[in-house]
Order: sequence, then structure tokens, then C-alpha cells
Amino acid sequence: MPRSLIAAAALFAVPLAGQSSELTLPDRADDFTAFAFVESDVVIPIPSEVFNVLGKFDYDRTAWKAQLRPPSNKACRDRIHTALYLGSVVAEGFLAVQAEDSATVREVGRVVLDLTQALGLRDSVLRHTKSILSASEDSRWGVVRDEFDATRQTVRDVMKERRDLDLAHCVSIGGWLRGTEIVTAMIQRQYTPEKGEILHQPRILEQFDEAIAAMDPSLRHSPRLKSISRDFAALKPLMSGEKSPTVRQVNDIHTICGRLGRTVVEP
Amino acid sequence: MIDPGSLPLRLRRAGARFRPAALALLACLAAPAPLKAYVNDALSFAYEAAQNAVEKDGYVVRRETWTGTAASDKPNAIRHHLTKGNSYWFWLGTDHENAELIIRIYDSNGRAVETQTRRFKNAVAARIEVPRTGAYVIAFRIRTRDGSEADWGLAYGYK
Repeated sequence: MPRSLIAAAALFAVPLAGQSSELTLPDRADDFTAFAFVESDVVIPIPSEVFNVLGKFDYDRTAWKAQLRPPSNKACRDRIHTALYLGSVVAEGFLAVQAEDSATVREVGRVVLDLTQALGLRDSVLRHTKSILSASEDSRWGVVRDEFDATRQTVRDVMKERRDLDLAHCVSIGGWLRGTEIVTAMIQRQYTPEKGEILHQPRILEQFDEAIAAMDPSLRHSPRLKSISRDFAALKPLMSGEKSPTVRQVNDIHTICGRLGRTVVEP
Repeated sequence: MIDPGSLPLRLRRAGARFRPAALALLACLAAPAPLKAYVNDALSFAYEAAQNAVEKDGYVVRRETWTGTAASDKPNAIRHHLTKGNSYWFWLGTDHENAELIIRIYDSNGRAVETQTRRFKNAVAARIEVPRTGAYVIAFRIRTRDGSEADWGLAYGYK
């Protein structure tokens, strides 16, 4: 073969070899059917993610501190109750970090241990709570926040491994309720539509509904979860509109989440 | 040293092949406690990609991560609630050498959202300034040269 021909072939060889189509994803994915979803659930933010947004609105530490409600040492009635309250207490921990309140962080750490003991998870979270207690003494708030995140994640992972998905959902619901109660209280202090938009969360409520509907009937029909389902039905229109929730809607969301917290979640 | 127990279970159980390379890195990122363990390779590449955003830009890495094995060229996704006012980075890593990766973020109507993307060794990342609070789809695709499956790990952080 003439050298010139070999050279020409070599020139073409590179583009030919690299001619496989460019790796892309479409600009539109109307129904997402082309995607394999790793999990069916929507990832729910931890309270700190939402507090982080509110933190940009010039709230000082005392504003966060005013929302603190140190956890109760009273015993919960059953495992569902315990799981709901565990989620709520961890949310309280994130708030205590925001408020930089060491005493509440330590109290939350102790109650988390009690609640996880009742659920047979104490050993799994012990290292996290130790870190929480130690870091709070030195005001290493980033560490404390990370360990609360780790606590929540470990609890959910272990519950899933044990096929206690219903309990894992209850932890999420309890955390979300307390987190939303705190967020609405902060928004109430100085409402703006920008802050109200944080509460646009239709898919999360749908997901909680679906989770409760899929639970074992003995749990689903418990008075506790029935109350939650009923109140979620009231929350949906408040948190699903095209526009940001109004100040009145924020008040209503706060009232509902607070009532559920006091009457259903807390012991 | 890294304490295996200090890592999320997902990290400890994910994948059969591990490497210690990302451990010091993890210590720099989210895990403040003394660390001594092995991390899933693919996820460790995601954490390596996260390093600058964490150390220089102050992003907080979440403990919630995902790992798996993907068929070459097949799109995978997770649904994620994102809050307006936050900036998020999603870091996708793979331990498959010379794999191509792409990551895109879609709103609930299926429209691709504008993101900043960065490429790293064995990783790619996308940053979103959330235009509206709500559910988004984080989609990604990995293509290997030989068409084999690839292990992947996905992490995210917010600021």
C-alpha cells in the first residue's frame, strides 16, 4: 500500500475510532420512563438543609434558640411511637446545632440513646452520640450536625436492613413534622413569600401518604397514624399550590404540625 | 485511622472491592470523627471530586449517599427534594477506568435545569442553584469502553 494512502487512512482512523456517539442525556424527559430509578422514594432533606436557607435571612442565634423544646424522657407507648419521636428528637438536635445550645444537644444525645435502646439500635448509634456529646463540649457545631446526620442515616439503614421499613418511614415522618414546625415558626417571625416557598413540598407529603398506605394494617389503622394521615390530607393543599404559601397558610401548617407533634409524636 | 463504624452503613457494605485511598480525603470532608476504614471505590472518587467544594467553598456533604452497579450507557436516576435558596453539588464517581460519565438535573416537569458541571478523574459533578423548591430528578449515565457494567457512587452537598 502506498505510504500516502497509509497516512490518509491513519488520519481517518482517529475520527473513526472516536466516532461513537457523544454521551448525552436528553433536554427533556417528560415522564422519566427512560430512567432506572435507584430508589422509588424522593430524598427528603434533613432539617439542617432547610435551616440553612432560613439562616441566609438574617436570623440570629436567639431566634433559633427560642424554638428549642428540650426532649422528654417519658417512655413511648410502642415502637411506632418511639420511631416517630426518635425522628422528632433528631430534628431537635439539628435545631440545637443551629442555636449552638450545648445543653440541649447533650440532652438530645441522651434521649436518642434511650429511644434507640428501646428500638434495639443503641449499639449502632452509640459512636455517633459519643461524638455528639464530645463535639458539643468544644462547640464544634459542624461535627455535631454531621453526627446527627450520621445518627439519622444509621438508624434508617439498620431499620431497612432489618426490613423494618415501616419504622424507617416513621422516623422520617417524625423528623419532618418537627422540622416543619420549626421552619414555620421561623417564617412566622417575619414572613416573606421567598421564605414561604420553602414549604412547597407536595411530593414529600404524597410519599408519606404512600408509605403509610403500604404499612401493615395493624400499624396503618393505629390511632396515631390515622391522625397523621388525616392531618396530612389537610396539609397537602397548603403545601402544593403553584404560589408560595401565604402567611395564613404558613400559620395553618404550623398549627397542624405543632398539634401532631404534641398529641401524636411526643410521649 | 478510620473507624469503619463511623461510616454510614451504605459505605461499609457497598461493593466487594475496596481501597483505602480516599480515607484521608473523607476525613477532610464530612467525617470529623477519627476515621479508619475502607470506602467503596466509586464513592471515594465522588468524595475526591467533592474536596474543593467542601474545603474552599464551604459545602456540607450529607451522609446520605447511593452506590450501585450500572449497565453501560443506561440512564439511572434518583428523585430528590431540593430547597430554593440552597446551592447543591452532586458528585458521581466510578472505579471503572476510562469510563465516560454524564449527570443532569431535571425539574418535576421533565425539563433539564441549568447546572454547572465539572469533570474529574473517574468522576463528574453538577451544581444547581435551585430555581424553585420541589422534587427534582438527578439522572446520570456511565459508558464503559468495553460495554461492561460499572460500579458507581453518588454523594451530594449543600451550601
